[in-house]
Amino acid sequence: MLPKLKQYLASVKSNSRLDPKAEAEVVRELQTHFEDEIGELCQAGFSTSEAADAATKRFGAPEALGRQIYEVYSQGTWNQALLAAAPHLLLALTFGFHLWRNDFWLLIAALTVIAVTVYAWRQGRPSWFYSWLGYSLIPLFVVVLLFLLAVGQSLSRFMPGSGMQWVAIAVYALVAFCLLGYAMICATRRDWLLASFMLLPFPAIIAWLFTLEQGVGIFQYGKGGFESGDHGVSFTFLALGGAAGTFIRLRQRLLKIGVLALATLLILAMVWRFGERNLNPVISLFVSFCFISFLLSPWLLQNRVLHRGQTEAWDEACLEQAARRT
Amino acid sequence: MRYGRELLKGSTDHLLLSLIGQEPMYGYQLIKEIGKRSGGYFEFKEGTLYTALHRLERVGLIEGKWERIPNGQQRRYYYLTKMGRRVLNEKRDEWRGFSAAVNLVTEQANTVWDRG
Repeated sequence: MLPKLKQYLASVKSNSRLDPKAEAEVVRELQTHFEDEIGELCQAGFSTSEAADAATKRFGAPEALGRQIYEVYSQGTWNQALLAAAPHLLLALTFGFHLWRNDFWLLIAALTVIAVTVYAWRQGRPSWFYSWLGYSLIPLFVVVLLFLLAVGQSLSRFMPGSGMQWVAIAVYALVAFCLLGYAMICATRRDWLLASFMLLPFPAIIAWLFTLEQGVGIFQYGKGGFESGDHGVSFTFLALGGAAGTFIRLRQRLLKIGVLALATLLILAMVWRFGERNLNPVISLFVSFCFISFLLSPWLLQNRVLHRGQTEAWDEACLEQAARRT
Repeated sequence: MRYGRELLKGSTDHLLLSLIGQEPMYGYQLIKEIGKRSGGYFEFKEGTLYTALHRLERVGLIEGKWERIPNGQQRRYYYLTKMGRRVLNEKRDEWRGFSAAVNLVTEQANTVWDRG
């Protein structure tokens, strides 16, 4: 393909931020249009290079075209909004009805989350998939932690000393960090905003863990007798479900960013309100800033994961893939 | 004579649905057909066309399918769906009513203007 066209299509692609399936369709379709147009211009006496210049000029700025295509595809249907809200609502249900104490329910919920994530991955990673991906990382971390602790304990029979547990925790932290990092990089390569969307439940979970730890203590809470706290957690995840659905239904990026930031502030306010924490306003502001920065951190990551060389290699692969698929 | 950009923007869907309703077409063919049938009056930008086609497809009015053309290459042909056909009929009736009303008003005004 002509370098001019390759560059044009790569720019459209990076601005349209579509899922791989839709991207392949759009790129291939534009490519065939260019083939027709350049063929006709060449017959009219243009050189190939002049024809490519004229054809890309007729299409207009690739960034604008990419953004227009993004806006066509960025608004999900009501069903997709419901699917994006579903994992948050599942957690709200789990706490609202105190089901987190029921092992069978937890197992079913964890398996559902993982199964839906795998299904959505195979369906071409639609936007709602990132909502489930965020949750699928949470039980995965717990399973990895429990597994490594069990390994650490059995090894310590042969190698006495409490150090093994610390090694297990260190390995767990490393594995968890690598998994989260990998998931964030994969999501950011498509669209940093989807990576942020994936991280949406994390501030709520971290805030609740800290609040409960500073209140009654996590393990004390786990032993029961504090059911009233469950409603607070449940309302928080209901609000997150609403935010996730709104995020999917919105068309413009700025509004989507606004929803994520507002949801984080709302969640923190709810955690402090239900957790009966009276924080100093300066500390509250600082914590809010930290959480919003954490949520929007994939924006900083995008320049690192998509530096020039990688982008070009990726574009090349994508165009080949598009041609094969269609 | 140039037409207002807003006027074309409001008619884009109607024009595309009408053409696709007559026979399935692909993007490049649609641009050529619109130019030819309007005697060169309408000049669609490619960016506008593909954005409109994908928007119409997303809402279920048309459906794109890859098909082979006689030279062996593949093109994405757009077909009108059932819902698309219904919307096209509605748009056609709407346009007929609107243009008839505009003509009635402007022709009366033109007659008065000519007399004066």
